[in-house]
Amino acid sequence: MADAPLLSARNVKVHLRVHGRIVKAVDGVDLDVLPGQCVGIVGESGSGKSTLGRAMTRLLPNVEIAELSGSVRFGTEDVLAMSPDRMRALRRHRGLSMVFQDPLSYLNPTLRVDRQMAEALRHLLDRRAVQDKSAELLLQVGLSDTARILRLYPHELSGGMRQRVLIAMALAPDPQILVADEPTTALDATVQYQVIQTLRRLNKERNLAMLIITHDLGMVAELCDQVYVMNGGKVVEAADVFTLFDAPKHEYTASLLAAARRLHQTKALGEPV
Amino acid sequence: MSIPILTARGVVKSFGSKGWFGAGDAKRAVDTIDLDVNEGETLAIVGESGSGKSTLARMLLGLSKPTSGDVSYCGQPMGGFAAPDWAAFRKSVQPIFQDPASSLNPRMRVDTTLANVLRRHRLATRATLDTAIAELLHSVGLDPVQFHDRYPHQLSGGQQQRIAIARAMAVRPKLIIADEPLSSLDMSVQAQILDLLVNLKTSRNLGLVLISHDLNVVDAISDRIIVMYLGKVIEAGPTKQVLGHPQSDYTRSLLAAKLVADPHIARQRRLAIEATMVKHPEPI
Amino acid sequence: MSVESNARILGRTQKSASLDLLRRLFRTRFGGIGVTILLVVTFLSVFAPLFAKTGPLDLGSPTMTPPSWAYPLGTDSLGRDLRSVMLYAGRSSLTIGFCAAAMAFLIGGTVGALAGYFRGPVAAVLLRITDLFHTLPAIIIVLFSVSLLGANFWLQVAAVALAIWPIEARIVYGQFIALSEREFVLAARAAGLSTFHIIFREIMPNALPTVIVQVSLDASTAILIEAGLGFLGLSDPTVPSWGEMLNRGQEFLELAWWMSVFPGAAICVAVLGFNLFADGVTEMFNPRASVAPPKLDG
Repeated sequence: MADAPLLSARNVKVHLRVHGRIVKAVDGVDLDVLPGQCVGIVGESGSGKSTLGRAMTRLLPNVEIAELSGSVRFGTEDVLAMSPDRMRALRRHRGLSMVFQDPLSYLNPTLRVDRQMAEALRHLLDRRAVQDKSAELLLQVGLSDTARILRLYPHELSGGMRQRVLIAMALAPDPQILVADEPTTALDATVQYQVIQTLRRLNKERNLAMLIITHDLGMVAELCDQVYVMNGGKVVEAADVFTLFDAPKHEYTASLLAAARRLHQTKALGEPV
Repeated sequence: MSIPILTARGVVKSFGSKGWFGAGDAKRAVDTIDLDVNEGETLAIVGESGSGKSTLARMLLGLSKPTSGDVSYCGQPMGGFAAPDWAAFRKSVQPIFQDPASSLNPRMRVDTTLANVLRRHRLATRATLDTAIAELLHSVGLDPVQFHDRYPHQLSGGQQQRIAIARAMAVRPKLIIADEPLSSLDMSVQAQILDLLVNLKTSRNLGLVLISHDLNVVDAISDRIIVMYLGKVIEAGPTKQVLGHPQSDYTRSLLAAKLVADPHIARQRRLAIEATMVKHPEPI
Repeated sequence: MSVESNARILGRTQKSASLDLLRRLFRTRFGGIGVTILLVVTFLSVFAPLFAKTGPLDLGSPTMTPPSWAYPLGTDSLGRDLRSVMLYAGRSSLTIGFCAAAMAFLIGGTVGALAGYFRGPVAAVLLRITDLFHTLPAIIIVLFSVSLLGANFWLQVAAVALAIWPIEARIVYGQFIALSEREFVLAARAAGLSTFHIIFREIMPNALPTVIVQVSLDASTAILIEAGLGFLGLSDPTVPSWGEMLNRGQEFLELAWWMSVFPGAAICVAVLGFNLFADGVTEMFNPRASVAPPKLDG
């Protein structure tokens, strides 16, 4: 497979100003996401994984950046050097979309779901088309009762429904890649599982490339094809998911895996009888 | 048979008003729960958000009163506690909370936090206070010299949770009620804190009520399990039995949703489970 | 290394916490300016006799002289040196600011803390009383008490405090409600610590940053209310204040601008000082409030 990467980072450095000190949050990272691939960035808090995700999608607040260097390419374009207009265009149509950890704070509490979906579907002019597309997107993320859900306010949705509505909105511009930062952290286990199912289906059925930022090796094992392990702003190991879990090369990866296995005892409990 | 440390009988907690005309729509967060916790035993209460497990924990800790029903400590109902009974209860049942950052007073040094508890229960005199604090910090794996004068914001999440455990252990309790003690920690830290809890438990014959949504953790350390859903007990029994041969659909779907940190198993399991996964109503 | 040897090293070290706080305040964008303004204004007022050549009510200077070397701030229609009047007037304006804010804090803080900690019927009664006062415009309360009881200086302080305490009560109440649900307060309750300890050692220190900001804003409000009263001619005529000077100056606005401009500027500077101080404290305890939230992982 000699696909050109869809999204790629080369020697990306993000140094942030935190309380007057310079923190090397991301310190020279290379990363590739191929079309249709699901890539995971794993790390613990402070590893720089979220900062990297935000740098690659140009969502870092400018005030804190002390240094931002290296290159991020989306297709053939340089994301970091792109004009704000071009960036906006990419977010609105066939570009990159993002999903975050806390769905409630990314939904407008005063608007019903249909209005917010319509906002994400501004490129469709016809009201009828917007309605159809909204329903279609909700179906795609596994919310079948679309007519009812579209009439609800965010607080009337359960946590899992909110996150899936947010994913549906992220899908509205028909992106080529979805970047998800801890998309299931705030959710219950059964709901987390539904969201993971949804993401996997989108990955397989729409051939949607994904960059999943997470601390949870269980989620990586379920979802990702390729994994980057980050620690202290650097990628310490990058490998195919099976290789990484079976034969970790770096000490840090091995210690993460050991901790995960201590918690996720790998005997498969509750096999369906 | 000895009397359980904690007993709950028909415990109900409802929130919301009785309404203007008496009828109202008070919602039962905890709905008629019975349970016993015996000495040295680990009881896991499993459930997702909205299951009422944290509300139950607060009632077991005597921090909020049940709307009806009663919680008893060593056979004595809390409703009839006098001041000395409360003191005795506070000295034997202690909490550990989910968010370590929020469970320590941000404007209080580690040693002051511990000293307050030690002094309150007269477990140390002015002369022995420093030794007692040092011992406590040692017991949770922190170097006293390095950590006694820190403020919470100068500690990592794992260190904060260790201090919270030290504070709970300061009164030498018989029972710890831990509400999601691991879920806001990094994974490698989770494993360390889990090990610490297991060590303390076995070395001091400590009872533990572990409230968690994480079946992996529950499976690792509990003797018995109670599965809660929307305020009610759905299933209860020995851990091996409940997790090995779940009787209710809800428990089965919890098990199915459990993530496994192994891509081979995860991907094999997927197909089998997707076929049999049982739908259950989503908690609102 | 034995536990005992560790214990001996655990000597209680007391760092100079207040100095450290001041240093942090100066590192904020406006806090340092605010503190400096307040210190200078307070210093000038407290040591007014050192800088004033005459008493505030001494006549005998030429009347209505514009600012000059001899009279840097000019003189008024009665022949008083405005420099002296300004300095002594600062005393009463600042006293009103500090004392009214302190009284508002005592009343409001107590009411808010009690309502926030005990909840239930206690809170219901206290909060309705608070609301009652809150709905009356401050200036009405003050005008009412002054016209009823006369323009006595300390009565005026009390009236201003009475007008502004409900905000304080609301703020403290909100802080107590939020903080008493925090896990460290629950842990203190579960450890059997006393109510007194929980209110004053666990909750209060954490509510303080927000409360200090409000007290400081209250002080500036109090100075403005006093200025308004003085301007309307309702303040104690025997005690000069900036507001009262404004009232006197307006008659001669076209003839003697300096009679109005200097007290007006003094009010602005003092109010600005309190507000910048409040901004600084907010920024110090909550650095994210003023800039976009920095976000590392989390």
